[in-house]
Amino acid sequence: MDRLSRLLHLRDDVRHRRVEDEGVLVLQNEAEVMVLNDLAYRIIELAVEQRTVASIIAALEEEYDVARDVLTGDVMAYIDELTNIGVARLTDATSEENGA
Amino acid sequence: MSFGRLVNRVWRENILFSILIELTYRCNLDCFFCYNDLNLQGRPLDEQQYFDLLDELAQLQVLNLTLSGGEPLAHPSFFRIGARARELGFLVRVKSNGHALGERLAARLQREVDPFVIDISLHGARAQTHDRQTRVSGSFDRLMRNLERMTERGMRLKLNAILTAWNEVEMEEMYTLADALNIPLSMDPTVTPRDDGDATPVHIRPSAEAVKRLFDIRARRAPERFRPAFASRENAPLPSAGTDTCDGADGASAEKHCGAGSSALAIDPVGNVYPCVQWRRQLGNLHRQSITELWCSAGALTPVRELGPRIKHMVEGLGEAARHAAFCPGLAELESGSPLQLYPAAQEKLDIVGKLLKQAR
Repeated sequence: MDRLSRLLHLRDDVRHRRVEDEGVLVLQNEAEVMVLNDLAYRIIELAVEQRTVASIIAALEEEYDVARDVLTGDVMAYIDELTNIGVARLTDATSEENGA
Repeated sequence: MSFGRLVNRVWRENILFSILIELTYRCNLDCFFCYNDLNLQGRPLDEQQYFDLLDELAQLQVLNLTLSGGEPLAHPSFFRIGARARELGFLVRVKSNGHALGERLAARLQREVDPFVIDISLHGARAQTHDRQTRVSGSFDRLMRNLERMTERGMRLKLNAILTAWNEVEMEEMYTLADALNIPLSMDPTVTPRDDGDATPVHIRPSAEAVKRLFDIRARRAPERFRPAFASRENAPLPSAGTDTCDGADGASAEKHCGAGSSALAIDPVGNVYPCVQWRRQLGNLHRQSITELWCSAGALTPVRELGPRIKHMVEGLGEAARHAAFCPGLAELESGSPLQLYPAAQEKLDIVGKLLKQAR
């Protein structure tokens, strides 16, 4: 399935909070903490709303004055980073709807 | 930006980041040196008030939430409050004596609250000593069983011990025990008076020789702690509510000595609000004002915030050893009436750390 139509999920043990124009992400299992810039944390906030990647990009396009192709590239690269380090995963939106 | 620099920022800009809530002073143990004021007067906060408080704290951008007591699990709404805190995204720390955390409750705690860490009190390496301090027979054996089960469940645990005249001979054994359990142990040499000023607990303060041995052990176990330069704060251990007032920012560049009243608060069971769990200067009460009103108004917090740089200046004037000696303005105020006054326990630590720093060079 096209990655844009997949849902982005944070790992269960991850906790996070916005602190003004930054974000804090805590990986409880590893006792690690990450400080994120505004855009990175906004992606986390949108992920919590159970959005597809396409919906996350669309929301960010409304909020930031950035060309769509640049934004899409940046967001996809960041999502790759999140999934590669195991903080988040992409799932099939259809199977979520079916309770899979 | 590193986490240390972010903590600096929340101190500097007065962003509430950490909160410690004493849910109840009820407890299933009866520790000799318990600091709680058991004669505290007032109407306890009810469950809805706690829910409203958590909603406000999330809005205020608080991340670290510590549920403490007494024994927090003894509060009838503990699990509902803890689950709500998890739902709102707080990093929850639970301070417990571990006595009630048998199989069923431990499983429930993990499932419903999923704390970042459970801080559990250890009073000795042997049953006789531990039970002497808790004044409950069998508490040591029960704790050991509970710790083993929780470790098997993969729960994130930390042991906290207060060094006392009664357990100081078992100090090394306590570290050995913690290592065998594969649980980190933090040992504090400071026995404080009770929050109402009762000095009874200080009768079992550890000897100066034991405090020195403790610092020797710490230096052996974490030698970088006593080297002149700080290690990078990137990926620093996450501080908890109440304790990030003592540690967490980049000490070299922070403008304040600690985050008490600048990034952290403590709340007792009847809603009194303090700069820190150790600094019992009442700032307000949640029956009369919301936490947002209290935090955002210029009232009682202003003098505390203004003291931050002055305390830092005073501590820096004591030399490099003071950076490691954990001067606490709350304890200073309790013992001497002034948060700027060096109190005996701090002076003793200062002397010991000064010697260790000389040895390390």
